[in-house]
Parts: sequence; C-alpha cells; structure tokens
Amino acid sequence: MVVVSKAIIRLADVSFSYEGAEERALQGVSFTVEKGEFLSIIGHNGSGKSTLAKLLNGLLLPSEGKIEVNGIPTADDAHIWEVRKVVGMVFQNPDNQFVAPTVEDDIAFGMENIGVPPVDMEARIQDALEQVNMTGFRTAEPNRLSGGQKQRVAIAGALAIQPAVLVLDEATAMLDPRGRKEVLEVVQRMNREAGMTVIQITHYLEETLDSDRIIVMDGGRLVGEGTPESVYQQVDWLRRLGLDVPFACDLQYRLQQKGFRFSTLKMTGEGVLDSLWTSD
Amino acid sequence: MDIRLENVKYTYSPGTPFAYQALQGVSLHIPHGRYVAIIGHTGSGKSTLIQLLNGLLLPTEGTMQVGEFTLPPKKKKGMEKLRQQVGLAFQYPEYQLFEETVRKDVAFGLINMGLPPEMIPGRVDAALRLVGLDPDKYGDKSPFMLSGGQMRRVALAGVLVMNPQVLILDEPTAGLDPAGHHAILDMIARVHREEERTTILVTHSMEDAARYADYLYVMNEGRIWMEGTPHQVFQDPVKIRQAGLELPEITRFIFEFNERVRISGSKIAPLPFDIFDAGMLTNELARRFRRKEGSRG
Amino acid sequence: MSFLNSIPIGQYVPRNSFLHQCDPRSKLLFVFFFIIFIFLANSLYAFLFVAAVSVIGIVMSRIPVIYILRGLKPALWIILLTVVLQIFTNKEGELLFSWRFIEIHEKGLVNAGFVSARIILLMMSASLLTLTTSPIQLTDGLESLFSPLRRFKFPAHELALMMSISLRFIPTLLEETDKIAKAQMSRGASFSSGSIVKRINGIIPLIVPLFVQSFRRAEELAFAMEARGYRGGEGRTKYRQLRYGGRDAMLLIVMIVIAVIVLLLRA
Repeated sequence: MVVVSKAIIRLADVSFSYEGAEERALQGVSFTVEKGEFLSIIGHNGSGKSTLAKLLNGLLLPSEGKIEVNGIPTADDAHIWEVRKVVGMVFQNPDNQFVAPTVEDDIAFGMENIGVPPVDMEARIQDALEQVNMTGFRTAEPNRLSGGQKQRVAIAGALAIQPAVLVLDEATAMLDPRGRKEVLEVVQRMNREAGMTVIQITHYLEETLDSDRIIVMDGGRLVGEGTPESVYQQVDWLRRLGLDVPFACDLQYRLQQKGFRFSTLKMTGEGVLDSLWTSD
Repeated sequence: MDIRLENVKYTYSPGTPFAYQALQGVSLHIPHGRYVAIIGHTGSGKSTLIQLLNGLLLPTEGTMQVGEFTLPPKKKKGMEKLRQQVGLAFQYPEYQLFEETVRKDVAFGLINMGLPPEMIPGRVDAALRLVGLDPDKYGDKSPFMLSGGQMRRVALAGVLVMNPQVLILDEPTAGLDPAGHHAILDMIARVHREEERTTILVTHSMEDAARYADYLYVMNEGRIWMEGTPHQVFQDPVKIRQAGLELPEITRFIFEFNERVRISGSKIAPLPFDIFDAGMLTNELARRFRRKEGSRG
Repeated sequence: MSFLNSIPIGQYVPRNSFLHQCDPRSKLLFVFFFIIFIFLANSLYAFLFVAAVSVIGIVMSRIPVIYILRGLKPALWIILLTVVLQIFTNKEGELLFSWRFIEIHEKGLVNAGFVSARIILLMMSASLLTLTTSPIQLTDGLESLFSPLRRFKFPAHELALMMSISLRFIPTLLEETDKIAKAQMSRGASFSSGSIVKRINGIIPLIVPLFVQSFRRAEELAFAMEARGYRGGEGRTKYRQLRYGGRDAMLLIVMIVIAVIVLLLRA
C-alpha cells in the first residue's frame, strides 16, 4: 500500500528551554499536522503550549529535535521567511499585534514585509476583510474596535499572506463570549471552506468540540492525543491535569458511575438526552 | 452597608462630539451581605456601574447611596474613605502591581489609609493567607517573579487587605486556565462566607453567576435588563438572548429535558430549574430513570 | 476615556480641500521653506505678505479657524516670554517709558511685535500641515523624503515605523494610564493632593506598572511583527503609494513666486 503523506508540519522529538531556565519548557514532543486538519492543543497555564505555538513558525527554535514546515526545517536560517509565509499566526492580546494606525494598513503590513506588489494589495485586503466579516471597518482605527473585531483583523492580516496553516495562540483568551464566537466561526469556516489547516491553542473547551484532533500538554510533554470523544472520555485524568471537561461529557461520566450505560460519548447536551431516551 | 441607586445616569465626555451615555437610568438596591453578580456583554454599562460604586466616576444624573455616602457628594473630599469601604479589583488586577516585594505591594492600600505602621505587617500576612499564598514563602519575593495566577492573588490581596465592606471584582478570572478559574472563584466564595461583606462579581459567564451568586443583575444597553435570583432570571431564555447572552449549559439541558418530557407525554417528572451543579443534576436524573425502571420490573 | 478626549492627538481634520489632496512630501517641503521665508521677511511689507499667504492657506484648507487657534495654545507661554524679554531688555531706539530701573524703548516694542508674530505664523503653518495631513501620510512623506539618506546609513524606514507605531499606541497607552490610575485610586492612592514630594512619590505606582506593561507590549509586538515576516526595510513594498500630481506642481510654482516676492520686499 502506498501512503501519500499529507503532513504539513512535522515535529520530531522537540525539546526547548528558555535561556537561564532550569526546567525545559518542552520535552521530547513529536507529532505531525496534516493538511486541512483542525487541531486543538489544550493544557493548563505553563504546560508549554504557547512555547509550542512559537516553535511552529520559527519564532523560537528547538533546543533539540527538529520541526519541518512543508519540508523546510524551521532552524534553516535561509528559508525561515518561507516558513512564516506558510504558517500565519494570531496571538493572545488583540492590542499588541495591531501594528498600523488603521485596519487596512495593518492588513497590508504582512504583505509589505514579503514584498507583495502594491497593485495587488488592494484586492487582497478586500478579500481578507470579507473572509472575516469586517468589510465595513476598512479605514477604522484600532481603538474604535472591540477585542473580537481586532482579533478578526489579525486573522485577516494573516490571511492576506495566503498561508496554508493558521496558528491561534490563545487568540480568544481575552475576548468576551461574543468575541470568542465571532473568531471561532471565522476560523471554522476557513477550515471547512478553504481547507485551511488550523492549529488552535485554547482554554475554552467548547471551542475544541468540533476539532479533528486534540493534543493534551502537561509539564512540557505531549501526554495525550485523539479525537474529542476519546480525549474527553478520560474525565479523571483530565481533572488531574487541571483541565475541565465539557458539560455533556462530565454529565455522562457521572451518570456512568451511577450505572448508566452509553455506547458512545456524546459531546452535547442534546446527544445525552438522545441516549437517555433511546436507552429505555 | 446597603447600596441604593435611584435613576442613575452616566455620560462620558458630556458636551463634546464624543459624548456617550453609558448608563441610561439605573435603579437598584443591594442589601448588605449579598453575593451579587452583574452580567452583560461588553459595552452594556457594567464597568461604568462599578466605577460609580466606589466614586471613581460620579453620576451625571440621579443620586446614589453607598452606606453612609451620598453621591454625587457635596464636597469632593472623603472619596478616599468611600474607596476604603468599597474595594474594587479591576480586570487583570496584576497589571497594577508595582512594588519590590509582595508584602510591600499588598501594604500599599493600608499605608494610604494611614494605618499605624505596627499594624500593617499582621494585616498584610493575613490578607495573603486569605488568598491562599503563604506569606513566608512569597511575601519577600518580587511580585513580577510570580506566575500569572499568583500575581492575580497578590493583587486581590492588595484590595482585600483594606477590609472593605463591599468587594467588587471585575472578571477576576479573565485569562486564567480552568484550574485557576475555579480556584479564584472558590476563594472569593470562601472569603464572602467567612467575612461579613457584600460581594459584587462582574462576569460574562452565566455558569459562574449561577453557581456563586445569590442575586443577578443582567445589564443591556446601559440599563438593568433583568434581575432576580438565578432561578428567576433563567426562566426567561428569550429575554436573556435579547441581551446577547446565553443560558448556562446546565439550564439549557434542563429546558430541553423538560421539553422532551412534555412532547413524549412521558410520566417522568420535569426537572426543577434551580439546579446549577452537575452532581445534583446527576442525582435527579438517576432518581427519575431508576424509578422508571423500577415501575417496569 | 477621560484622558483620551482631553488631549487632541493627531489633530488631523479630514476635509476634501486642495491642501488635503496634495502629496505629503510637497506639503512638508512647502512648510519647511515657508518657515524659512517667515524668518527672511524682515520688512513690514514682506511680513504682511507672508501673513497674507498663511491666511489664504487657512481659507483654502476649509478647516475651522478654531482648530488653528487651538494649535497656538502650546506656544502661548513662549510668545509671552519673548515679548517680556524683548520689551524689558532691548535698549535701542527712543525711550518711551521709564520707572525706576524699568525702561521701555521703541525698538523693544517693535521687536516684541515681530518676534511674537513670527512665532504665531510659524505655529500656524506647522499646524496647517498636521491638520491637513493624516499621521500615516506624514510618516510616509517623511520616510520618502529621507530615504535618499539611507545610503549614508540614515535609518529612514526605521524612524518612520517607530513614529507610526508610537502614533498607533498613544490612545492605547492613555487608556491604560487611566485604568492603572483608577486601580491605584481604588487602593487609596491620591494623585492630586499633598505636597510636591508626596505627589512625585505618588506617581511611582502609576509609572512602574506602565513601564512593565509597555515592555511586555513591546516584546509581544516584536513577536507579532516577526511572525508576519517583518525583517527591516530591505525588500519591503508599500501599500500606500505616494504620487506627485498637478497640484504638487502648482504648489511648487506658488512656492517659487512667494520666494521671489519675499526677497523683493525684504529691507
């Protein structure tokens, strides 16, 4: 059988320590990300997930091991800018990644950096704004935007470079529920319709339910991975890691301990109700 | 100390092209000792309201009574006294830390109060213990060397140390991971129980509001949109959605459960709406379905 | 919010005037040379002429006069000071008034008038530039004008980027200052009462968090810029293209005419 590899990012035994730190922030992490995948990375504060995000586009370089993006090692100085064209990134604080004084100039910033001809920028800005539902805000200044709007501009700025992968490093952590929803909807649609590979790092469980795969980090190690169903089945284990489980999974787990039987783990309250009603 | 607002309005930069009325007539009464949650999406007027409560902003119209203080006051002096009694912890309070050591930073409020120096160390250490930090282990460290969650605790201790009668917390768990989130809210609930004071929690989370508060205010467009016990407020999901908010997941589940019971014409008893704890819900469900099995066999 | 509105930042007033539509580079050059003309105008007629030109500029900009006058406010003290110095120290010309050691001479009065009028004109033309040119255009214009100096290692692009980022972050930092001040006031700090020593000490709880935060922001911003492919001015393209047009040619002609007239009217 011929296996066609669709991997776009490959981590092989990656470790990382910050200068002067005794403990390693990452320890022997290996995994691959497939083209078009929606991958969520969860873990408590200090588990190494944000360090991991910064390694994915060469903002940090592994102390040991190797990371390849489209076959290019991130440690390859000569091609690092190729890597950053492939992997777009959105960070946590909406204010601290807004570089220019207006929305359109900010979206243009990344294109200016990689030398996109000025005649093409106009259309690409328009296109990026449409993708994130922000067309009406083209000339707006950042201090007139909500957090969710700023983050969508940040996504648009990344999209304008036409990356294959979008990494969201806790991009919703500082947003209110409405802003979180706006951002999640945009990213999910990018993934579904444009086949964008999405890697999101988040605390919010409801954002991970539709992922293709979840990776669980703890103490700088990859301690678990699988579909949302398989990961959220392990309620006790997740709690021990300082993580929550979605309401529906928690409820099924508690009901199971009372003698209820569920054939498959349901991710929503409705699913649980379906199981309860059909099991009698 | 009771809090009373009578048709309070607040306008930012009145008389300029930027004028913006953030509060459009708010009336409320919070009796002493309550744990109150204020919910609403960004821009609903929550943060303006809490800044009025400790005199950082003064009403443009209407009057308010916070304990013995009437606002707007006749003279501007005495605001410091009000702020000692109404402690306010802003969102991301760790951004206000500035001293060389944790102890010095927590003491800041007491020094401003003019407390005799010999009384300060005892109260500082007590406040640190209250937020779950060992004063001997952390007290002489630089606050900037601590983890995010620990910094947040230090900042909260810096407010608690003044022993305010009313404690206002603006999204005290913003940006924390689930473990840190629960730890902070549990700590606040414990402090509320142990010390007689009013606690006002500003939050986006319906779950947290339902689990911790006795009484809810839902704000929308600069007004009190709904108020009541969690049980009362969550009876009206339509109105909650109009305010741009969602029911807690557990309440949504109970709604759907009861809806299915109704449609199927089943003899299962509907679930009560005042369950906000997964454990309690499990027991209720177990009771209902086991009873059914029993009747069948 | 309260801090934000009290400071007129980037006072650019969007209008659709001739001056608004000129290329920022020609406006910058024009103002630069016009300021030189103001200092060259040493006769009454020459002076009246440059003043008239300024007034025409203001009318053409379609900007309410109140904005221009507001721009003069910061210069008020400098004007007052020079006037006082000129009047009381200049001992030339006829003696007009004397009382004990105070003497006021004719030349002093004349000079005071000239100097203050010059400062006013200078401020007016400078604020006319910032009122009709958005900060982005201004930085772009400066970058473009100074870019020939890059050959001599002059960091034109870097300076322009610094300027643009500062402009972008001024409102953010003001908001943050407001928030930290309120947080410390909630802990009993007072920024407006007490002795000077007390007040200076009172600033520390404001300044330290502001610095800590700014460093954090700078670090995160650097990461974000790098992630978006920023690597200095080399090989970079510009979204906003500056183009000289017919208007700029007209501005150039006007400038030459002004230069000739001022030189002719000079004493």
